[in-house]
Amino acid sequence: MNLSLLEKVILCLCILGAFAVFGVSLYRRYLLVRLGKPENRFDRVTERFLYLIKTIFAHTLVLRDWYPGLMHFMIFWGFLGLSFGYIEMYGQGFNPGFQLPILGMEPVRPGFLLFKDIFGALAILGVLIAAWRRYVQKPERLTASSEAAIILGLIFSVVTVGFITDGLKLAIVGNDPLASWSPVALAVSRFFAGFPQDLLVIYYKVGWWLHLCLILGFLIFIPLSKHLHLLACPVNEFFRNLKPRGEMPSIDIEKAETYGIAQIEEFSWKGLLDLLTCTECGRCQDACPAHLSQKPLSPKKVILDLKHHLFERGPDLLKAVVKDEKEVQKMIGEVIDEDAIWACTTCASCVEQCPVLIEQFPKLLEMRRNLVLMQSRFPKEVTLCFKNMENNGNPWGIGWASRADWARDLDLKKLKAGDEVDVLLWVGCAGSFDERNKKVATSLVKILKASGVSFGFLGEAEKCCGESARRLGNEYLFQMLAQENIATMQEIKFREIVTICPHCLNTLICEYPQFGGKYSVRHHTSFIADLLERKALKLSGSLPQTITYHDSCYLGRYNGFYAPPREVITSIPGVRLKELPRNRSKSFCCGAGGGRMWMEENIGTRINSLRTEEILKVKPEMVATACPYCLTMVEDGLKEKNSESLPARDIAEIVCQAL
Amino acid sequence: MKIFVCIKQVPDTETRIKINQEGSGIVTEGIKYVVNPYDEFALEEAIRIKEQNPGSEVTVVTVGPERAREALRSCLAVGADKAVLIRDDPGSLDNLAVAWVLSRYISDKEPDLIFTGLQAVDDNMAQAGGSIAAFLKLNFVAGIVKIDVGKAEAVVSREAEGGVEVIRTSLPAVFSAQKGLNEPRYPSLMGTMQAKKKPIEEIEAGSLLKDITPSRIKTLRMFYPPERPAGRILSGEPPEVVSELVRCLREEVKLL
Amino acid sequence: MAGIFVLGETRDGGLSKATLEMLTGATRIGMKINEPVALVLQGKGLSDVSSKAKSFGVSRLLLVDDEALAGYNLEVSLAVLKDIYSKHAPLMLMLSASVHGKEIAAMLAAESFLPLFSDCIGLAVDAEGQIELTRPAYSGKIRTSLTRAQLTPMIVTVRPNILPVEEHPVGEIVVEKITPELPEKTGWMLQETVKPQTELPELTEARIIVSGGRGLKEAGNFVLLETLARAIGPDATVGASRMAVDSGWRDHAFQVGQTGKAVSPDLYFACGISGAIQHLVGMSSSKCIVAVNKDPEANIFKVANYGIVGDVLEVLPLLTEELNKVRAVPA
Repeated sequence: MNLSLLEKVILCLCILGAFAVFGVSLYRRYLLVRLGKPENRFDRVTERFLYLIKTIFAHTLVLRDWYPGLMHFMIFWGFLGLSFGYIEMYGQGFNPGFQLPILGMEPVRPGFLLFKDIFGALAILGVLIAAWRRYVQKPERLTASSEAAIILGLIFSVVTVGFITDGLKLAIVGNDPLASWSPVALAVSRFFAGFPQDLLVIYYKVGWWLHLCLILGFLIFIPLSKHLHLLACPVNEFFRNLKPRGEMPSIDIEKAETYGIAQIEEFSWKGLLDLLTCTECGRCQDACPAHLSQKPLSPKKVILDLKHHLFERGPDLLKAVVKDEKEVQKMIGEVIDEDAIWACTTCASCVEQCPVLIEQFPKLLEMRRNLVLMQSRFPKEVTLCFKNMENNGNPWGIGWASRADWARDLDLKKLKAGDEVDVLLWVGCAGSFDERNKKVATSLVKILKASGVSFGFLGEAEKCCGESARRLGNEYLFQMLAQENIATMQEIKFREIVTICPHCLNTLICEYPQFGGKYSVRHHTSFIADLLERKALKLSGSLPQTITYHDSCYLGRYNGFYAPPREVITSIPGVRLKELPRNRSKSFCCGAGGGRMWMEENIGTRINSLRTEEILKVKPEMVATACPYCLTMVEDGLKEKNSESLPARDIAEIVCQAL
Repeated sequence: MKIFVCIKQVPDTETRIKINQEGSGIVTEGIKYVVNPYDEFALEEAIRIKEQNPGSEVTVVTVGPERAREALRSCLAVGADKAVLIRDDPGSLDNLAVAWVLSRYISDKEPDLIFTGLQAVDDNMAQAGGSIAAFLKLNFVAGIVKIDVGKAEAVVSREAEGGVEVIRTSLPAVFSAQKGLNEPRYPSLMGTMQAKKKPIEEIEAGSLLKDITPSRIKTLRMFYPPERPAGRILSGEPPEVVSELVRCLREEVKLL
Repeated sequence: MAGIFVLGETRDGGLSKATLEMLTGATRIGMKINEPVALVLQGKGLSDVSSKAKSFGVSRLLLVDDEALAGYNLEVSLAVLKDIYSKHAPLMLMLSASVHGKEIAAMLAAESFLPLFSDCIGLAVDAEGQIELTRPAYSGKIRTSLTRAQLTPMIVTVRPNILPVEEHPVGEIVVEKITPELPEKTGWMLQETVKPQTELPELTEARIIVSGGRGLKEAGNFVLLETLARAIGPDATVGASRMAVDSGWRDHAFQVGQTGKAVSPDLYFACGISGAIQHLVGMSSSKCIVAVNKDPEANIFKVANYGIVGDVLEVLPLLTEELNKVRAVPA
């Protein structure tokens, strides 16, 4: 392509101009992110970088859903390859002999051309599939927005016009030795065989400049649309959360001036970056138990509503214009529905499913903190739960003095200051006070006795671990309970803690260290699995039944323990383990997490109802659980569906029976 | 408006009550103390009235030992403006003397409204409100579930045996709060932190006693209610077990 | 011979059951310590109850019949009683532990500077001839008692439905009409009494209570309890656990429990109620408790005299049916 000086100048101005507009828009977005509070995500840089290579080039996160994943893989690699080609194409506008360094030169060039064409074609295929999926198949989680249509349209046109232009070039040149390395362009050129040369040249020029407009237009459109994810994703994934998923950030109660988040600028810069990264794919929504049970909560909607709110407030915030309260939309209550904030069960499916690592539910938890600690505004029934935890160390408010009554006849050692044991049995509130879960605790005691380890429990001195309080936003109450428990445990020597409840497990492992309590903690299923492996526990009974296992969110998605419960179940002679459709990292929440165990569920269908339906469809002879909340919710669900004949048992109970 | 709320710090209702060796009182070790639940309704209403009448002030007063300070702090945390501890060791003043001391404290403060809880969950005496009112020569209504405060009058509702009574009384007056009056708010953390810094006025009970016998009623004896004899679970299918029950109720206990 | 003065109430032209219980209690101790019993009645247009009073041990009947006492008025009642106390100086003033009674007693205690012993459930005279008064404390978890040695003149309120009703006739009764010295405009007025939307008797007065909780599943099912109560008789009423009231199924006036009313009927049916401690403290002094619950491990069975493990929705209609059946058959 030989351009006149004037054309070169125009080309230069177009490119520079487009980049300038692009740059300014991008900078504006950056300024919005910078409105956020500081947060240190600059640790472990090498680890962060290496992870990027996996997710971007191998598309590990995106491919978890194979159909759209594959489609995106094709579009991504296609467009990437083609982009390099376009750089060469426009470089040749300035210098006709220009070839892309390394890629465009021998010996790489043929391979590069082939790759570019094949994947370019795949990109077109990908876009067509994407359009079919979005506009014909119409899955619930995708929005058929005009923005999406423009993006798909632009990709399609850029790639198509690009191929046509390439084909025209080959037709014009006529004998490019590397022509066969660009099969698609070659095929296009064959279409133009026999066309008069000057017509081809005109077509080519039109195509070339049209392509320039399309691609520069696309460039400008990127920061103004969700296509910003091209740039935001790698950055967002780089700065991903390296702390344990189950660790909520702590608050310095004495020093903090405000608690929780009620204004958009109170989020950290990472929190705001999340908002710009969202591709609106909807995987989070598809996995959210609240959304699937008709609550007004959709993690996708939360992120997008916050994004729009950021765009609305951004200009005023950047200019430090203070607006009157009445003129501004309230983030909590108006932008985000209060019912949505409380509907979250913190099951972590949203963060598990998100292919670009947005942290959806932690934002809701920060809003809860504001509602509870600053506004004292939360569902009525939660007040009693807080008061009970404060006065009697358990959410039910049963007298603290009766916490050890369940173990009265079990000859279970009550530990006092100075005692020393192998295992500290952390019973938890459910095991101590809930009639059904007392049986689980009793079973575990029997197992511990059979194992031969020395163990004991705290008795009345044990207080609620406080997990529910923290998840409900009451950081003050949580810290009070945590500090009291840590002080109690400090007086006792033990090698490890074994606990019945995954919520206790999670907070003891991930959150108590914030206050000086560092312990080695295991869930009872891991402990039992270990015993079985070391043959320290013998199972003589057999249980010839089909058992299905409902994964606990806090055991599985939060802490990665999918295998131990299964190992334990399958080591019982005769047991056939049948998986639920949604299992392991895709397990569907029982509905009780996030403090929801203590709240009324008045909107939509009951979450445990949905899960119970799923369980019943599998037709097991027994349902196994590993969490007192799950056990309660599954049994309630079975009662509701008049299926009480299907027994639900904790794994400890199943093992105990087979001892 | 100047509003006074008289509260009492009591053992939490879930406490396992154990009688001490002498049988003269309860074992106090390990007891979790809270603000009397009925007093919370009283305080909540006082704060709501304050919020509706800007410039008003809510003062919480209690007669109790040093530990009652904690109860006062939690009242300050939900929105009381001032707190007063009239120091006394538990048991040294009987209910009438407590009411006397409280009324002496309030008498020169020009109160517009005085609230108490219907009864304390430890002694269940339901005396404070009425006695304070009589000592101050003010009107009294026990167990209100609704109150509308006007300039010189208040209209209240309360449940009595005959139905819901709507009563009008002139102000100032004393009211004791019953469950159903409102839902007490949970203190915000800001409130709790600020409450730590608010001062608590302290007075010795003795200084207000003057000429009053502090205690004329002493508990003679404390004992546990008799254990219920073990009951029977009737077994059988619904129709049979129901006839068996009716038979028992008619023939064995002769109640139907 | 200062005497025991009972402030009684009339009901439908006669003396109320609570009054008869108080008279029984007063007379029993009065006989042992040689103190006469007087009955004070306030109202307007009081009927002649002297013969009934006489058979219940009343030797002196004071009638305060005045327009000002047509309806309940705390200030007027207070003035009347204060007057009576200062004139007669009785050893004991006894009132019912009703809402009105406790209210008057609390004020009277201060007005006349008398000790108050509230919510009494036992009046007895021990072997040495000392009066022993017993009352519950700590939400019913313990009982406390006092003896006469410490009793100077005092005020006692008596919980209804605890004491028996027994006649102890005396030879003579003197009827005195009292014109009260009424206070000037008191500024206290009972404007109206809104009766509950039910003809069922009030909780603390019912002899039999059929109470429902979570096991009833919804408001509509309370009709099963109402049907049973009606089948039992006019002295049976329907109660509810806190859960049922909080769910809006029943009015708070019929809530039994720690934050509702304390009841002590002859017979208490706990239907679909688990028996949490907060409910138990409200009804554990019932003479006989019947529990119906789906869960065999429910706490309520620990205090029940008779228990049925079953679905409340199934058992209640059968119970009503059975009751109607056996009653239809002549004994």
